[in-house]
Amino acid sequence: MQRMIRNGLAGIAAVIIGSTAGLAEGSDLVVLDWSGFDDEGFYQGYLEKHGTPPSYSFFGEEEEAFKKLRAGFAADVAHPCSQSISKWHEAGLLEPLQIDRIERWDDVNANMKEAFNFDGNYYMLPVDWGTTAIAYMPDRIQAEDVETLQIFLDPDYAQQISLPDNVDDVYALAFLATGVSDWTTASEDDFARASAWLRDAHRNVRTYWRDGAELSQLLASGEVSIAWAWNETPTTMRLDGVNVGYNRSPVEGSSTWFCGYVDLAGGPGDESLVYDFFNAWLEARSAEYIVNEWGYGHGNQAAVDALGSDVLDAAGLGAVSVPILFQSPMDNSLREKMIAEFELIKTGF
Amino acid sequence: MNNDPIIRINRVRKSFGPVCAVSEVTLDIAPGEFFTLVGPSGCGKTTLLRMLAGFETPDGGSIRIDGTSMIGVPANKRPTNMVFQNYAVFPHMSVADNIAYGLRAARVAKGEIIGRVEEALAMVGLAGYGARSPAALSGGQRQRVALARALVLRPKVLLLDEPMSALDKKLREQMQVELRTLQRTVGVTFVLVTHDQEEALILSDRIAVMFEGRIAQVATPHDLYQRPQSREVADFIGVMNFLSAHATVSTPDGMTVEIEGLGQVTIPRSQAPANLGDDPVVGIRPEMLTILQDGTHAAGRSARGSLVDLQY
Amino acid sequence: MVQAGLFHMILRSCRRAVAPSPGLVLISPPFLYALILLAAPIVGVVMLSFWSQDFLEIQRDFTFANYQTAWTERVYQVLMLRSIKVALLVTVATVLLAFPMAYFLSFHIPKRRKQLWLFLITIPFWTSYLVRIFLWKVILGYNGVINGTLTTLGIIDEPLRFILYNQAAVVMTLSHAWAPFAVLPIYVALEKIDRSLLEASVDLGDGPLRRFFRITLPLAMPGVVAAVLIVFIPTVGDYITPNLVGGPNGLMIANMIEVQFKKANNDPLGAALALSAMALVGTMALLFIWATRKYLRSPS
Repeated sequence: MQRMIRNGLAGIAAVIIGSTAGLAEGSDLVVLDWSGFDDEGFYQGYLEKHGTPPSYSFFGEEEEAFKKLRAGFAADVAHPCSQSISKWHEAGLLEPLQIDRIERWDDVNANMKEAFNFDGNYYMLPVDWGTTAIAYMPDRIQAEDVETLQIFLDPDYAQQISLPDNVDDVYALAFLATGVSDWTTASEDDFARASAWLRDAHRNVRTYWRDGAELSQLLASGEVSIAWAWNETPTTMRLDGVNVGYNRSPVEGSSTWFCGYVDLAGGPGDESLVYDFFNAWLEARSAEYIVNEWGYGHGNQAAVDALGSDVLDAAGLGAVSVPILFQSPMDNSLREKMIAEFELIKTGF
Repeated sequence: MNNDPIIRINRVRKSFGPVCAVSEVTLDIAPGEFFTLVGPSGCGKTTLLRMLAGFETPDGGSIRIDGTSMIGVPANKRPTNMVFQNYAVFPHMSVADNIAYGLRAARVAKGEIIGRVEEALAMVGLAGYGARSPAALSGGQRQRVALARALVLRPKVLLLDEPMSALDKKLREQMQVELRTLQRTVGVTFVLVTHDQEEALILSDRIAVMFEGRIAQVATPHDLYQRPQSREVADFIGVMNFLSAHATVSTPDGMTVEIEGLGQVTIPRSQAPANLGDDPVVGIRPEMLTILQDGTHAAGRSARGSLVDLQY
Repeated sequence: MVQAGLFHMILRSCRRAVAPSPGLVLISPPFLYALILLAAPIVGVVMLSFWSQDFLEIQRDFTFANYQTAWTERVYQVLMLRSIKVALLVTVATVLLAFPMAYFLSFHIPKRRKQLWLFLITIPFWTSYLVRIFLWKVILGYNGVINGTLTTLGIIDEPLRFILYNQAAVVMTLSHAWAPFAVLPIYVALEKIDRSLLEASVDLGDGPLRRFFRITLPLAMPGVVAAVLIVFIPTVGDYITPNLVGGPNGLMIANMIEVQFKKANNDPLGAALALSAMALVGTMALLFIWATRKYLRSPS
């Protein structure tokens, strides 16, 4: 759900909700979050301790939250994703986490937390993650056809393909397809090859999907048969009784993204509330809830592992043996180039 | 006026829903005549005019103009043109373009259009006004444009629907004179609709008085004023005093009637259609009465009275 | 931003129609409101468009570079032209569809029923713009209404893919969304036509067709002009519809402006693009108004 509403319309709806709901009631903690993340299942410990939920203000996409904070909106914690953290950090919005106040810090996924260790300080508490891989409709597509990412270039499937309207996921695909599984070390040539691959894939794209609900409809209606999708989409579609395939193991590999909470500099609320909130999120029951109810991974790796590989595999979160492109932060200038290039590609250049 | 009538209306009927607007009207209008339909509002005169123009279709009866039946002939194919109550001058066109409108519709050659428009402008006294916008014209000037626009097409019949009603009294009197002159100059048959009996009397060669969809009397202004054939016509045209009487003596020259309170009065035969023994109503135009000094009266043509009030 | 500025321009061009105000007092609250919420942001955007941005830092040195980029780079030229093309098609389609509706409403509906009909025409407004866009997806989709009908009738074997996710779909969706906005001003203009002018035209020899072109249409032009501007100007700046039904080739300039302000961290270029679009649309609108004036003055 989190990324479901990353772009476009749902975002607009969320702004409207965000501007009217939230701040008026609740305790002193102000959370700037993706719309839908005020689900009480995520922070039961906080509720038990304080009796009331935090005050939520919602955003539909990270750029909107970024602009809002830069314009002076006062919140205590926010929920950006991995690619935004360094930008937010450079803008001076974040303060370092006091990891000694986070009870389960040692259980937190090491790759994810270390990605935001700047000069010995940690800036993001990873809480939710997911995978990006090939979703396909088995009634129209043979499983062996999706054993390679090159299916996205196959002219036989022209106009039956949807890619995310999301620069990170789309370049994760392009880098993997051109043999790069760690984009933090990607060279100019790697970037050029990935962009060229994406240009080819663009010709087959029927439409770029913007949220999970849109993608579900595209797949279920027959509009497209293959998509580069988040694991939540097949999970929720199967709950609706739609037979959909999800292959995280094409030969070139698949991708993982993650998001988390940051402590905003100059937040109006009490810092102890911030850490009560973080600690509630890291409880095992929160991890179980998000995996089972939302189809996302959770930042508490120990709690996730405790759920067992059957549950994780079914949710598309299990271990795979192919390369994984981990969407860790990259050089800002490369990302800027990616953004500009993707817009050109989408426009047909 | 020895020619065949230019307009023959025969037993024409028209109803709007349950309301009968025109019932069984039969009327002939001669070429070159200035003919007026007059009556109170709602009497059917405008409906009759609009049936001549082709904007309404009669429910029954026939209309012939210049010998041709008009049944099924649309308005744009009739040899009539109309001056509308509010003039209907096209606001988005100059005066000259307004006047040229019908000529362009008839695809008259460009060079000819220019000449005829100039001529028409001069005819209505608007020479040099061609380039103006109608918005810059007064009511009287707009009426002249409407007249020129219709007459430039040289119609067989010009229909005028209450053309003076939007003008103030002074301008109206001036335009009435001009309209009469214009009609004599161009010689086109004019059919005017008005509710103003004075206007009808001033302008017309003949007048048809209409009440409730039928024609009460058709006559020249003189006859209509002097010899109304019914009380309602007499009442509508001019001012008339009505007095109850009893006919006592009838001779070939006239009739003597006994009027209550006035005594015996002798009326010339031509103005007395009643028979001996009837109880006719006598109408007296106020301007026909003269107040005389006591003792100078003529026997049989005067009555004694007293003056109770005097207004200027 | 494009839209706000242009509505301001329309307001200005409409000012002549507004009677002189009875007093400054009466207009000053809305004027202040307009100043704060319309003029001030536009001034801000204008200033921004002459600055530059290095990742997060705005550099306040005066530069024309943004405009140079906006007007010379192929991608912006293509998007700008595409936006104008789509908006023109939408405008033409909308006005051509709206005119007969407005005409029918004005001339063929009995007076006492007109209110009801107007009310019926506004019914599509009761649902959100987004819902209407989604409805078009349902109609045009792969297993949508059109494909379903054609398949059932045996006219096609495979559902058609070329009816959704392209510029034609954008044009169709926008035309439908804007139709009532076009119907209403045309209807008002037609209602204002004195019916005796139409009779006079026939009386002077015109048939129905020539009457339409010489009297009805010229007199309805103020409504048509209003409809054209109301549809054309916001349509150039629309970005939701192209996002939802446009597919890969349906993106328009407003999508690019959004990207500059958000993901691309280039607010100044976004501002320059927005103002360029505004200037272009404004020029086109003024040219159009000028052309219609000219048309109305020419004798017919």
